[in-house]
Amino acid sequence: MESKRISELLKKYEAGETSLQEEASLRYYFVNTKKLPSAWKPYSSFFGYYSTAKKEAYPKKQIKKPVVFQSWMAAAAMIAIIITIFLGTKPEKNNSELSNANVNLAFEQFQSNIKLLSNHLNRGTQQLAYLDYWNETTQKLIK
Amino acid sequence: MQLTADQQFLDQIQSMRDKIFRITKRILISREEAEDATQDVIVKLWQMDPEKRNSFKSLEAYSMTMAKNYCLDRLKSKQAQVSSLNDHISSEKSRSLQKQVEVTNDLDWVAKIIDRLPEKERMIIQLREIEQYDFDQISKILGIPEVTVRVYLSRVRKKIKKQFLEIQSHGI
Repeated sequence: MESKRISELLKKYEAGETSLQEEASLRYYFVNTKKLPSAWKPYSSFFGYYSTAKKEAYPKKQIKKPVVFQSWMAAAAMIAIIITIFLGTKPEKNNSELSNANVNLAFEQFQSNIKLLSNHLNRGTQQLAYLDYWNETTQKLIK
Repeated sequence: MQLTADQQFLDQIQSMRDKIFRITKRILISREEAEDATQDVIVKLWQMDPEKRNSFKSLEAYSMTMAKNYCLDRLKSKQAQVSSLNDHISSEKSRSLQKQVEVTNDLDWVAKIIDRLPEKERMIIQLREIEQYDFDQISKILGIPEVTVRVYLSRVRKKIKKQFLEIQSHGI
């Protein structure tokens, strides 16, 4: 009889002597049999839990992939560089269309401005000579 | 050549990943920690020299051993941390209280009983009752003789039953 077989298997099971096949048949019996003697009810919970626990899977959360450098990215970068160079050089093109006279005038003005500036700069250097003097006295004081 | 070896490994790992996750979760109990541990173990396997990897008789048994060792190390360092903080008991109490609220049916009770068992018994239950490994594999993974595995298994099966019946008779 079925229940006699199961009860013998359960004895072996508790002694740790059942084979995997025998345990599989126990599992099948307890998971699928609706009406069980009350003494056996705990086993349906045990085997029921073991069967559900085996189904637990690693969450399908993908491992973050590092961004892989791809050839289309290189192409996009090149295009971006070319566009910036092109846009950057455009205004200069307009400048070169200025007449020669204007360029000369601008150059002369620039020259005279620079001369003025350099005169003023030189004036400053004379004042700077005092610094040396100052240094000398402080050196003396420190000594 | 390298690509096919990698592909082969990926296929192998795919089938083992869930098993690694389940054993790490059984040992560490916390789901997040088990996810981290699974990732770490897989990365370790991935970084291993393919020749060495293929030299194992059973990559699965090797991976399970690795996962087990990884988790036990982690528990050890965690325990050291917790006892140094000296609030082990109080955190344990609040955690089990939290769990009691969640338990709704008999299957959950079984899970709870197993969670409270010592690590070694939890691992035996996981490997035999859930993953259905034979005694030879279990003895290799745990590094203990087959006879000892049987003794532990018998003891823990009786223990689970006893605790389950106690809970039911007290009607907690």
